[in-house]
Amino acid sequence: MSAEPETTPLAKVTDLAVNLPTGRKQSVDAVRHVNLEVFAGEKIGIIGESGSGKSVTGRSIAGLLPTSPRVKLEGSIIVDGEEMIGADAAAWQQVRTHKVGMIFQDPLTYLNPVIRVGRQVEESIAPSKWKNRDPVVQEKSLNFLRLAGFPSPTEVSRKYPHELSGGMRQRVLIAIAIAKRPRLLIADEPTTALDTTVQKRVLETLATTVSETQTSLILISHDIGVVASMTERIYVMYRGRVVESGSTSQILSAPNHPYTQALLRSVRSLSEPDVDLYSIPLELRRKLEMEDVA
Amino acid sequence: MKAVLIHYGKLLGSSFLLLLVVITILFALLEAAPGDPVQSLVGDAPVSEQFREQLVAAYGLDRSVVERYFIYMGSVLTGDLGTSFTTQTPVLDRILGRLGNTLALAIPATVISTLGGIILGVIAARTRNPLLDTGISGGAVGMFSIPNFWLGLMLIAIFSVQLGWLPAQGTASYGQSGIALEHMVLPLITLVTSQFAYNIRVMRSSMIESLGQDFVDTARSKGLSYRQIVWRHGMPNAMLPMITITGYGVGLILAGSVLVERVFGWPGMGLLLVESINNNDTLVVLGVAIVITVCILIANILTDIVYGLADPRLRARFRPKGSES
Repeated sequence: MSAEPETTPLAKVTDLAVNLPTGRKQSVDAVRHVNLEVFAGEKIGIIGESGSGKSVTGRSIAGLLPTSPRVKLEGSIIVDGEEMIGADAAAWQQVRTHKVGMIFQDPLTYLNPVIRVGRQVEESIAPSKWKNRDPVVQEKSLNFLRLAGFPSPTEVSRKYPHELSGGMRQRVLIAIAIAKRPRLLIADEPTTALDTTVQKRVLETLATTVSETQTSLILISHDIGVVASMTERIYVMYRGRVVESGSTSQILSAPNHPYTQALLRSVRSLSEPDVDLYSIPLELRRKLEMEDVA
Repeated sequence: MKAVLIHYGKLLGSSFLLLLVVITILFALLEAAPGDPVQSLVGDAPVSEQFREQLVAAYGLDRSVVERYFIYMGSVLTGDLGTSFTTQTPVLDRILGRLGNTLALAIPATVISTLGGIILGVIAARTRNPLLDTGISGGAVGMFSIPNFWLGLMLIAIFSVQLGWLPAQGTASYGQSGIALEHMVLPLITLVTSQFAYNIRVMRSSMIESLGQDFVDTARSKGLSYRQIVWRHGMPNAMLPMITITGYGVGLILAGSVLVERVFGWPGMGLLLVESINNNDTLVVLGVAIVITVCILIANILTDIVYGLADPRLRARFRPKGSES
């Protein structure tokens, strides 16, 4: 593990709280007192069930929360030495342009349907060269498409998103995210919308591109198998908090927190097909909720 | 390429069939309507029964409805819309003489209402000032609710009669030919208003919808500014409904021009239609309706072509199934 005490983390989240509006007057504390750090070149995972706040945490670091003024952020997010909470739009734009890339869950809706794939990658390399296309940028975009697993990128770059399969679209999103050469890549459920056979290949692509480009990775997933194979450290989130964190092997072999234990038990095992699927018992949820309030 | 030709061939064919159906329905309606075309031929002067019968025979009005329908269809298909009962000149010449004046209002009206609708719609959608958005949206609802005949009369009452700023009637000053710009202002405002308001509303909601799409998050993650996101990613997607609306709008504006031309004494096709209905000049009525139908069908075909250019997902229909890689 690269977490040596004297190196400063690439991104450090301290006591982060995010409050999101859910209605005219209602809002929800999506993330509460989250501490998280990721070092240069490190791969970490955030696991947890739906609504645990893992996506909101990821989006907070990438600066991609909804733009509504009613979204409230507290605490500290330091990206590459800069405090981002309370930072102005220009500072965030710098982070998004150069430092943090994001891969999203649904590969179709996250690509613009009326723009050719190649241009969408080029835009990530050089957002300002939209009108006068630069052949150097075009050449670069082909390289990133190749890196994302397209053996003949020229052909793909001329296509529209609807002409590609789900797995191919996800590779395009990977190409878009790595094309700006970010220091940190946040992948939010990158394989959830794909079928299992494609999942594996997309994950391999993600793993190789991340290690080839020396990028740090935050992999967000509810799929423990996916996170286990890709990461060095894991944060477990539940009800907007990090309930447990540690090295991947330690979390998987000796989980401390009752929620982590329950979460690991609820993974369906292929080697023991007769075992009933375990679901987290209601008593445990109630107990955790009580502790939360207290 | 072949699939493209087949698609547009089908579109042309179905448009042509639609035209035949429209002619048939109009022919039947006019046949059922009260009124005697011979009366409009002879005017109000009393004529002998013999002369009347001569006329009926000369125009073939003694034949059966079915016979006259097929004769009329045949001549329409060869480009002959018949002869006007009142002026004794070819119907087509009379219509073409007026078509220019109608288009002189309808084309600018379409351009203004579309461009203006896009601009104000985008402003209303992306402004962070709620007052501006409410102002534009509320104004659009107001404009959309004003009946155009009332608006035309009010404009005349205020700007022509009271203030004397703009002329109220005709295409140019008395004794002058051509179209004077100042004569166009009031009819154009009257014709544009409701379509303009409608376009604002459609563009606003369409832009808001496309800025809420997931791909906007991808664009944000690339570090684009809000402005770049609106123009590069919001605009091309938000324009798709506008293309359809503009196509329909051509029909609505042509329909509206009948009223506007009547109110402003603008000698276009619409006014010709009103005059011909009053005079029982059946063939001219039919002819105007046919020309308007053709204009709308052409607008529809153009809409389809433009939509195909703007949305690559629609172009996919030209490709044989299963050729996607």
